[in-house]
Amino acid sequence: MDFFARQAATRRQSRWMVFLFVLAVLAIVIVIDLVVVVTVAILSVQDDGGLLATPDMSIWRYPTIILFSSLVVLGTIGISSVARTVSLAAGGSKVAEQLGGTRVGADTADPLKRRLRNVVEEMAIASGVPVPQVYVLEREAGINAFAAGYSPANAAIAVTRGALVNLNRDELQGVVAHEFSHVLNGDMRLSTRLIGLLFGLTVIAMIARTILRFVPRSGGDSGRKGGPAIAVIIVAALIVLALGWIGLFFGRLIQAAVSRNRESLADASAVQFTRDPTGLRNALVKIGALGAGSRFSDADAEEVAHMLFAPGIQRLFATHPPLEQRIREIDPGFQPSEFETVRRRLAEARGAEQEEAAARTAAGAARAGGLLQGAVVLAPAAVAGLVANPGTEHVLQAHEVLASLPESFRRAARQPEQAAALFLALGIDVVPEARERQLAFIREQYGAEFHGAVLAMLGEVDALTSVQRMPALLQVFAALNQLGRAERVELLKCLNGLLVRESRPSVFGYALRKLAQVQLQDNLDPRRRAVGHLGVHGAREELQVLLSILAAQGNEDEVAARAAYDAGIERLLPGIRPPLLRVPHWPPKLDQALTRLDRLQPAAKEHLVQALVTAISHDGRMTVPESELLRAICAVLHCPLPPLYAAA
Amino acid sequence: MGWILLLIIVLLALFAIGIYNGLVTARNAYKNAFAQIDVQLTRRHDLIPNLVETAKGYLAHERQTLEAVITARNAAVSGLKAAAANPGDPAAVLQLAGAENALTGALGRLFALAEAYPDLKANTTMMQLSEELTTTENKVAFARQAYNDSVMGYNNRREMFPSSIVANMFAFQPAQLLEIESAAKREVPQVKFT
Repeated sequence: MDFFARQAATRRQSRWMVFLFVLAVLAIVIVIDLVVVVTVAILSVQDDGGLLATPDMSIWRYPTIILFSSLVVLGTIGISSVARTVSLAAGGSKVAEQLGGTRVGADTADPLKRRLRNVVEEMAIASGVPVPQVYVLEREAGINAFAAGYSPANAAIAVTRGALVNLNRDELQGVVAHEFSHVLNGDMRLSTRLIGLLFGLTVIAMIARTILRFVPRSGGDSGRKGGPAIAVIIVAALIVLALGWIGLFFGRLIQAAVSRNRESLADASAVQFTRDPTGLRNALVKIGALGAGSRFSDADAEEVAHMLFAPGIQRLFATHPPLEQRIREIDPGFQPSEFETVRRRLAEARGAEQEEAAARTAAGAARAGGLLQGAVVLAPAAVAGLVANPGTEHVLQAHEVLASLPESFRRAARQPEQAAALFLALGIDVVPEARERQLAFIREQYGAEFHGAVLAMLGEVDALTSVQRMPALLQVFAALNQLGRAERVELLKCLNGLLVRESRPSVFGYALRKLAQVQLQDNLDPRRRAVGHLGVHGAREELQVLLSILAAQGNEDEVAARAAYDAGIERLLPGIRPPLLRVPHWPPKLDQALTRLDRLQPAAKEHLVQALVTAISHDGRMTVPESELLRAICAVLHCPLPPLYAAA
Repeated sequence: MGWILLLIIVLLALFAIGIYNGLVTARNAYKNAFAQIDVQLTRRHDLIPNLVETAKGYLAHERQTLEAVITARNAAVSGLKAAAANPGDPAAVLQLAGAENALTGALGRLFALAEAYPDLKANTTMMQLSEELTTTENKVAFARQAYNDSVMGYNNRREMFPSSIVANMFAFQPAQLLEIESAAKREVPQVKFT
């Protein structure tokens, strides 16, 4: 079936849908009229007093009543259908938001959402449709998706969290391609209009349900004054509910009639778009294999049951062809036993993941003990060779230090809110007066609640050895990168506020600020940085300042500092040797120097890092401040530096 | 008699003009389709230096592979530049396809190596980059379909009678289909130690 044939088929189907709808409305009107007439007849007989008299069932006696009740029913259905349709005028995003969808912007950083967004963009190119809005239904654990909207321009595609987590890239692509075929073939328009009509049909049942929910349970009330009245209301509501079921019945019939064969068609054109049947096939198999399947938990799913990727609700009139049949249409050789195989494989994968995590924690804790004991003074080993080239051993040690961090830390580092608290706690001074100033500042900026969170983290931060602080900080950034632009800017401002209130400028505080700037701010403006053209001799003064500060911070007495400085500067500017500078207020000076040094050409940067390492390792050891400063400098210069820790 | 001849000549000329305009439309269509690919390929080339920079930290002993990727990337960049300047030149398009496939091969070897380094695989930057690379390659693949379709339309028109006469008269060059594989989707190649 080609594109035009399908559009024609869609038009035929919408006429069929309207016909069914009219039929449903007529049926409801007739049944309700009958009930009303019978009730009135019974009541009027009672009024006459003669209980034995048979009620006159001739409907011709009650033309006004029939007209009135018909108008009321028609009006209710009509008004609610129109109202619902109008409320959907904004397009598919409205439907997605009502089901609890959150929008996925074009600049999302979350890897799973990023992947979804990319897949949608790919399919937009493949099908020649503008990129629709993308939503994730965070509360839904089943694998499902839908497309809604009146035209490709205001379409929205929503995918459940379960689908994001459980499907791999190809499978997700299959599901998204299926939804795109709804967008392209005009199915989506029909489905979205159906939501409006269905609302009219089900509104009577809904009214009854709402009444029943608000009427108190009849349990002990019968003796009281309101008893009989409530009983009458309940009976009336139950009758209306029973009548409403007629609407529901027809509504589901229409949903099933409209949905079933177009799902098969969408499967076929999804394969056409992706040119790869395995993705969609495996996605369907996973739905069959998973316990949650494609089930929807949201009560509003009733309304959209006909537009979902896979059945969201189990019911008599199936909205979708059986899963096995759908898979067989793509892959005729499918055996249902594969469901069991896939289920077992998924369970195994999950188990292995958990086991691995447990093993990591246990082994890390056992081995890290020894490492941390003598680790305050770090051996430089062959650091020069390690810049941008960590050896295997180094990576292992980095893992040990990471594993030695408390579990609560790792948990906090996964969640943006907690990570922000942890991040600020790391920036807090050890000197009591300064600490008080800083905490007061946080309370003022972020309120008492966040102040509490930082305070809670502070206890754990204080328990860290100096070796652990840097790895702890580096862990935080992944979660912080999930924050929005405004929040990041706010966080950086707050950090600057904290550092201003430090007792005296600390190396760790400086490294914290620089790393945060690079990690959080550069990510916000990912414009391609131009490669610098500056040579070593063009930045002589800055190099002098930089090495002077590094030597002063890394060595306690001046003789050692001078020796370290000389070794470093000799490497950079042989024969020139500008003298060691004393820099009392070093952070702003260092900032200035680094901004300029970032414009060095790549070869000069490599040279510079080697010189820094030479200065650091001149005395045969690398202290913690030295390693922190080195990391900050490398971050600002945009040179990747592997984790640097003690070598035995 | 003379005016009938004149009428036939005028009609033939109008017919030829129609065919000529049709050919120009088809040629512009495939050139425009190439521009779509151009965007995505440029993005692919831009991602690779970052990828190599990230991988470098972990693959210290694999300098050769990394350099091969960079070399292939630079060749592809210049190939793209030549082809984008003149999409009508079949040699340039063929060369671009060759350069892109060489790049795909080099990237494939890099990804195969990365399999052996769990730390590199788990690196978030690396994961982001390979996701972006995958999506770019998919976009290239889909944009390529549109390009190849319009190239086929143009070539059909150019070769079929009677438009082939007009095409020959005005020297409409044949256009070249573009075939590029994608690295991320390829099966991991067999590594042999000899």
